Amino acid sequence: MMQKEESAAEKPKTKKTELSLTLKTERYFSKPKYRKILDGITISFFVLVIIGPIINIFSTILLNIPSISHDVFNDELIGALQWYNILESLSVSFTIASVAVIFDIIIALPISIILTRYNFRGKKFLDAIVDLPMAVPTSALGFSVLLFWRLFGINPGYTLIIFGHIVFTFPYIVRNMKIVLEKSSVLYEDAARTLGAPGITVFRTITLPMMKEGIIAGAILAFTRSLGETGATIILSGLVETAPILIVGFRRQLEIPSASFLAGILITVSILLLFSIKIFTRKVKFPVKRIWPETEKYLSKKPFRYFRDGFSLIVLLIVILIPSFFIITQITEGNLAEELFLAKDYKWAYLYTSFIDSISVGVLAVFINLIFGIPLAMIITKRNWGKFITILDTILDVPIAIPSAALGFAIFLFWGPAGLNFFQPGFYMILFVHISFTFPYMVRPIISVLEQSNEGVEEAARTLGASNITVFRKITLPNIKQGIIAGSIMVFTRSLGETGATIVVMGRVRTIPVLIVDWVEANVFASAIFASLLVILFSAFLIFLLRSIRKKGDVIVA
Amino acid sequence: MNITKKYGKFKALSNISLEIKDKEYFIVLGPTGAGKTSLLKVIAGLVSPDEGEILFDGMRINEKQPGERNLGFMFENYALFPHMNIVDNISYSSRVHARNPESTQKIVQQFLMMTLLMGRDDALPKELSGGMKQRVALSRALMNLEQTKLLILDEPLKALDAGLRNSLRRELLNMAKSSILDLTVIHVTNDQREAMMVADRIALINQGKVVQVGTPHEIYYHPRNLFVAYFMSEINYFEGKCVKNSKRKGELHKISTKSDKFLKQIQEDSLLLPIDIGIDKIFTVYTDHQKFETIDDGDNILLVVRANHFKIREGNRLKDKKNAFIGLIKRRKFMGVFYRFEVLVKINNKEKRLIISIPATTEIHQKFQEGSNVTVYFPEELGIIFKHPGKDEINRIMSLV
Repeated sequence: MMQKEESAAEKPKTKKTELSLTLKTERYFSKPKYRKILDGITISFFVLVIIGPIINIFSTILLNIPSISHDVFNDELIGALQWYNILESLSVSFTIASVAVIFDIIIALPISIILTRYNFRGKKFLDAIVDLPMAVPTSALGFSVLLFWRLFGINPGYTLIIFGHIVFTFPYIVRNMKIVLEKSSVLYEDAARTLGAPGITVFRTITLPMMKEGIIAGAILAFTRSLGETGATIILSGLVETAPILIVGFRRQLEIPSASFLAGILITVSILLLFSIKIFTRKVKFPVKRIWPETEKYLSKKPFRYFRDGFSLIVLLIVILIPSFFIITQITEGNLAEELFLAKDYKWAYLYTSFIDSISVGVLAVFINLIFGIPLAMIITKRNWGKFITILDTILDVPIAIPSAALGFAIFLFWGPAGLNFFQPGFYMILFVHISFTFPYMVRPIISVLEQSNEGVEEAARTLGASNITVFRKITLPNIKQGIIAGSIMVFTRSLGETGATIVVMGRVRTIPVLIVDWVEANVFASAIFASLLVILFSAFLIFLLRSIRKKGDVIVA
Repeated sequence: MNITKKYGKFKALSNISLEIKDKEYFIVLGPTGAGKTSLLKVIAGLVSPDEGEILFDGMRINEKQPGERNLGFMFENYALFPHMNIVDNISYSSRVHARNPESTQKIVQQFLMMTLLMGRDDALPKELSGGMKQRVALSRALMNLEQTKLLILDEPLKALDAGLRNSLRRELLNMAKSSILDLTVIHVTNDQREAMMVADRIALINQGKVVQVGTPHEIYYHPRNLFVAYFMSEINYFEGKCVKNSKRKGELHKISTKSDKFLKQIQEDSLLLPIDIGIDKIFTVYTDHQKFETIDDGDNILLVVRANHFKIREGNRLKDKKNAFIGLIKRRKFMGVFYRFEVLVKINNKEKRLIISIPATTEIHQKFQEGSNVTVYFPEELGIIFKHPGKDEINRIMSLV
């Protein structure tokens, strides 16, 4: 293979026509040597950014067993209170995530079918508005949810956290269901209908089993997002403490041993959970053999169908859509001009700088993830390194699975003053954390586009004498454009919306979501509403961009 | 049936009206995108028509759900449920209708025997070959038939290799015609050879409209327009005029002794029409009464001759052959059963390339080489005359098929 490439490279030299400088340079750097160097750099980046900090947190725990056992289990004053707090917060987190995901799935099933299998006016609009909360920073969403349920006398606490989590995890579930529904042919459902199956039977025996992959992917994503969410949760939690909030609390009070211990537990549990779900669900089969003809026929009748569709649309509206955007109606609350612009603490200046900081972090994270993400995606799809690729592919999802506050804390320990002492908490550390937890969002879409793209085209270009880099620039890159754009927008919106990881490493810098949290906690609602509306508008614009670009070629993340 | 189905502004079917007889093997033929599958979906109830009625045995069934129509529908690419094994696939309709499990079991086993899949009850569709999938899909469709014996086949042979396609086509026909099953079949295809081989009657549809319905003979020898002629096999066409002041009127066809019985049958009662297509000789073509009446003296016409209806002789035989051209063999291609010649002839001082296919024999091989001068001609019975549809229409049809 290598010899072939070389001989192909030599041939054109004997011809009289001169190659342009670009092509010459590309040919030069297409040598296997340089490819190996690039592979090496990419892999080391991946190891340092993702694996390093995680391994480090476990070694930190091991090295600090005495202080951890003192702080967590045997404190002179409070005894094992922290341990109980940790257990309590874990159980709260898991309960909330489970309830939210189950509720989401129940509502998302009919909604995803309505959005893919029905034809009606305003379908595109509904589709877009269902996706929108995914791009809005969770703290803004959480704030909106708070304002809405306040009308009904529901105050911060357990219930409100669940409502909030339902809102921001819902798009992940619907989205993944929609992708599998769009991919799976209506033909199977048609076939079942001609064979006499009523609607419910078709759904249960044909559609649902084919949706399995999408449901699982969506559920994993939603569950991990819920487990790790901080921004909205701080606003909605009142006195309840979820695990990420407890980490943020420990970090604020500089209880480093307890924070590392909890981060370690969260990371372990999340990773175990991710793998066990992946293994377990492969074995799950829906009972398609039994059919209850009479009952199912009865339940397929029109009134039931209308009731089901109507009910889920109403729930969608009341529990998800209206609370998400309720904040828009609150623009008149308080005296905005006075609070934001005229007050002596210059809130508008804070808003301005944090907006700039947020966008800079997002843009830089996109940029750096592109530089390392594309080569890594190429390595995972194209190299024949056997088991190593499988491992790489699996580890890639880890940053999505573990709560971002825990990951942020791991990175703080690794790169910060307590570890390698590369960065102080502040802008660059925020950037570093954001690069780390958004990395998979960049790589996954590119991998999936690469897997779909036609390899024959690249080989054809090679037989025509193009060097590897030329092929990459002229053939591969245009082909994976969709994936790159989708990945970039995902990375940017995730970075823009992140709270937990930022709080842990931010020092004096504030990003927009953190600023919203601060202002809500400080009860300056008018300014908080204004800031939220600003990011919601910005995110709506991004989603609009995303949707106009990726008409096809949707990608399942995770 | 008189059906219209629109998708937005696009009319997939417009005023399609077809009547299918009991126990008939009915082919719906047409190019891709003609509306064939839409028609099947309307019949099966998977989509409802915007206008028109669907009648089974005189009863309107528009409002019936697909499951209540009791027809067997075999989908393109078979649509076998990927997550169910073949037994569960075949018995799906029985379970839905809560039929007796034991008798179902028996029938399923019979089907497995028929499909040569005995003992592979647990196989998943993805483990089967194309031919096996086709048989399983057919079994599944047949399981759904009760009183109505209507089987609908959507491109049933499309996904198969050529050899397998031939044998399965034969099987399909045997099954449809077997007296035990008594099936009425509606079979959709875009392959005119397949249509000719199995159909009792063919409906040729294009752009959501029925262009012609008839037996394979009628469609082949009496195409209603250029599209039908062109769709059924390779043709040559010539633009020309019906000769003025001809003695054509009332001149009944005298059957030439050379033409075979079959041609006699189709040409009975036809009339001779003299035409001028731009060479010295006047051509004469027989045509049926109906068309004869619509074409007046001096009208622009289109003469269509199928490639396989030409005959070929050495040298210049213009004197003793009617409807003849002299020309030069530009290219000769051996196609197995026949030779395909491209012959250059002069019409109106312009060169025209004729496509001619002649059954392959040793004699043909020796006599007609590339570069030989030849005379090509066609019998008066086999020229097909249309009123000239206009240049644009010709170009449109030529690019369509």
